[in-house]
Amino acid sequence: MAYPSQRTRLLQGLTVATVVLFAIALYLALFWVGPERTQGEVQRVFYVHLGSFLGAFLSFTATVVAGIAYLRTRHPKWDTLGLASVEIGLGLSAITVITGMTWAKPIWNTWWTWDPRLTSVAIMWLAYAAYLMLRSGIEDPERQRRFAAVYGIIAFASVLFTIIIVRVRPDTIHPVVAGPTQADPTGSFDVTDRIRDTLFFNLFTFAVITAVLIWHRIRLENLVQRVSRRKMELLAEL
Amino acid sequence: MPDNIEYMYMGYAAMAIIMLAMIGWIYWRYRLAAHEEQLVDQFEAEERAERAAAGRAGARPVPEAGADAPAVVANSPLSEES
Repeated sequence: MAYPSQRTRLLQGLTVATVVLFAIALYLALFWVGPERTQGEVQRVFYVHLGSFLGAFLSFTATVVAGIAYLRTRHPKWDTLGLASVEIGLGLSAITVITGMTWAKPIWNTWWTWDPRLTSVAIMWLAYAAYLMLRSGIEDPERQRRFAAVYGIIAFASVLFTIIIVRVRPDTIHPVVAGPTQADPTGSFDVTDRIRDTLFFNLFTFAVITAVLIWHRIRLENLVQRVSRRKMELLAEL
Repeated sequence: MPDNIEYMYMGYAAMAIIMLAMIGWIYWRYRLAAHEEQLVDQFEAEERAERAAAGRAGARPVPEAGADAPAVVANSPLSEES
């Protein structure tokens, strides 16, 4: 069955809206908000860093929801959502890690350190990269989907661990944006009204970007599966 | 205020590269799959046309009795002479 044209139009409209939102978010982060007093221009990376982490978190949450839904219903559409959200989440968390490194170099004087937060985010990234590799190693489609659903649920522990670690470990130097911390982080800054507004707009934009990218990836997967099915049918007829 | 604008550029450039790679990868694979679907459509249409032609050929007048029997080639293991 072809992808409904009404949904295609909605996705196209949403994509255009996302591009506009992203342009505004960049304008706010690069021009509207001034440079932070103590950190200078590099602090502007923070809006993308936190926004992309929110996107990755939403993606991996979608993977959990998809995994639970698949195990309950055994409908392949949930597996497609799980796969799409892992791929998009991996890309977004790669942005989080790399923008964090570019911020860390001038602020911490190092690109990378085995801080509890940095270590946990590296484990999280590897856990989801392993999801894709292990998934592609299983040939039976039903087993593949079942494995992916269970793995997607278990791997979410690494996401929760990444969020919680800075709040419970006193030896982390990673700043905490919201909530209490037992540590004395290096690189914190005062949040002015403009910084707060820019941050919220960027968070909202990255949430929309995540949803749109996942939708595009689902649409691609549906097309790939349809073509594959039709090719098999053709071969069976010959 | 520290002068570290080059790190900001680096961060935004890295974000742009990863974003473009993600979007480009989805777009490229979609184009590839859409092209494959076109080929499948084309192949199916050709198959249908061939079957229709074969169907028309099958609807011709029935040949005389005996004409349908398999021909026995002279000197073959099935021929009376062999």
